Amino acid sequence: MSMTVRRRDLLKGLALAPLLRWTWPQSVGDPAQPPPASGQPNVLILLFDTFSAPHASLYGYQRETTPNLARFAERATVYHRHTAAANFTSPATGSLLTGTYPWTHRSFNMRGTVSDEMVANNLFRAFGDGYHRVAYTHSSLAMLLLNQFQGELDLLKPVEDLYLVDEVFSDRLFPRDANTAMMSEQLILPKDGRLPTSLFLSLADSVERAIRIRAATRQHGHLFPRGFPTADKEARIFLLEQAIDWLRETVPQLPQPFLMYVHLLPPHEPYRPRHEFVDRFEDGWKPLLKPQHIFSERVADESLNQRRQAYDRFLAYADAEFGRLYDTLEQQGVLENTYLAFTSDHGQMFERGIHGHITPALFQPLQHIPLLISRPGQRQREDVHARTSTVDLLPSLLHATGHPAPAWSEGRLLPGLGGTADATGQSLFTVEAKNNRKFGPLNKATISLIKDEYKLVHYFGYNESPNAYELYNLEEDEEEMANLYPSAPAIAATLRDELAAKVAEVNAAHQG
Amino acid sequence: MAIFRQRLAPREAVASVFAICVLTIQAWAFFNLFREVPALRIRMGFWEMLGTVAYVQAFAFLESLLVLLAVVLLAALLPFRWFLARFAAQGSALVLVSVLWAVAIHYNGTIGSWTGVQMVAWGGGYLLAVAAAWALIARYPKVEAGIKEFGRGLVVLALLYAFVGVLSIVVVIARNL
Repeated sequence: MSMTVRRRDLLKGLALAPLLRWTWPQSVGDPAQPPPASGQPNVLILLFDTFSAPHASLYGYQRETTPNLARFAERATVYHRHTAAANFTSPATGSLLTGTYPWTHRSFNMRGTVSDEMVANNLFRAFGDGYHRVAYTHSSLAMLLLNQFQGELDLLKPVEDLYLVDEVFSDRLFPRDANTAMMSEQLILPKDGRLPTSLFLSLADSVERAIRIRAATRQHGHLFPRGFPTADKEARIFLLEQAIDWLRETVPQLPQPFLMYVHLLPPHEPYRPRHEFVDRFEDGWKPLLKPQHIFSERVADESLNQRRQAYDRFLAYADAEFGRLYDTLEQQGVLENTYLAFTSDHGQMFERGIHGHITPALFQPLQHIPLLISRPGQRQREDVHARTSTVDLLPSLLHATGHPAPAWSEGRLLPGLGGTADATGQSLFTVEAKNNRKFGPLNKATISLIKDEYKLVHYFGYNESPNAYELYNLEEDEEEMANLYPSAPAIAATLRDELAAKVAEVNAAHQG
Repeated sequence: MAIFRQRLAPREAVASVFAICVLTIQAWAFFNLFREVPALRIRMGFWEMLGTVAYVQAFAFLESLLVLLAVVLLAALLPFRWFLARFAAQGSALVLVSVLWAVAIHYNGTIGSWTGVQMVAWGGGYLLAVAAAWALIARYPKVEAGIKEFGRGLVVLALLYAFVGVLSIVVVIARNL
């Protein structure tokens, strides 16, 4: 066996050394040193992928999944009705980073990217080079978007820097054409069981990967009895601890003012928490049973409950790691001069025979995501119950930091960041259109319109549902058990007409 | 230098083996790429799709060259009577058996999860298949002649595939300038 230690392995080992300190609530570096005043506040957007707000104890969930988020909430503004713009990463993250809905930025396909016309309309460019702009993501889908915006970033940290095993190399080999190269690599050397276009080298790649995974398992496997958290269908293995430790060391040292976007994968499946979380929530609790849906995948209720339990454990693990980061940021004084926004891109479903988020359905567990924003020096909790959307984050953070809100954004100012707390009548949309052509009109999609207490969902173009509507009163029926579409024709017609007009408007530019 | 040249296969023989390499490897790449076209069409514009095809074909072409290099090197290393004497036929047979084995492995699960026993079984079976093919070629001149003729006949078609490969490499380079 070779005793050569590669520089890369040494650096990885050093980065993992702090893992030994997980269970000790120690601070890192000098305590309570506020960062140098810069005149402008910093902005840190921390996104945990696939975080469904109904599963957070902060938002009233049965299980104590987010005690650390609750601690953060004591000095933050908690948005109780924050809605995702889409139900999976590509369009949802596109909406956060551009402040527009998927039908505008056009990243609504799996592994989608925003249209060429929209590339310049992004968060990083809007903040300008007066800010030190940094981004990192575990997610290859989000990386496709960040690659598009990398001209505006001072640092786009390579994905592989915070992975244990990373089998993707094309973005490093072809940095100027990273997105197309990465998508091609997924065809040449796929890790998800599809047949590769490479006949021979793909076999060598599989063997090499198996060797690296076995080495990682020997080193860390005892800490993750359910297996390592992975991304891209097991192509990449990561430790959340590594990313959190990097943030704990990096954020306090960033040049100021900074804008940092961090997109971490947990609690996205597979649900593989650290060992102390694997036996939590053995409470026998079962959620409300809900009827099957036209897009049901026929997953049995018992199986859904088991997966829900596994998800809750993974969520609790992610919350614990967030807690470590939050403690450091607080102790280092970073929060005195920083807007810290905690959010997600979309939620997750465990009901109606559906598990996951790759579905045409758009129920609240998919749409309702967390949003907490701590203003610089904020000490008191504030609660906002007005309905807000992912697309509101960009204009609000720009406004809060003294930048003009861009005309191309479709969002509004959030209450607490320039908006009014009792705003009503706002129309919030969620768009699911992954099977539409990027440059064509929407003719196969699910679109949700939430206006005050009502939510209208329109399914169109599907074999299962060529043209169907559902209407819910989210105030009286937050579990969405009663479809009011047949019994409330006046409200249904008003919302239906508004939705139809909006779809016609967005389709007009893409006819032919 | 002369010793080195003596260990290299004749150009015509190398060309027919290369034809087998490039046709089988790029045909496999084309076949599996076109299965993805419906999904790619939805989210990509024309130039992006062209770029994706270029990366895939460029990789396949380079893979063909690597396989050819491996075959040529093996012939240079083995005793003359074992391989170089019948390079065209044995080289083509080696490539064809390797292609069949690789396809079978791809359709039979993940090589990365094989046990040692599975590795030995598949590897042993592969070596036996190659040995059997070479034995047939050595014993039956008509088999050797048939395989040589087959390879020669594919050279023109292979040139077309090679052109696609080279063009793809040019496109990849251009996209990264």
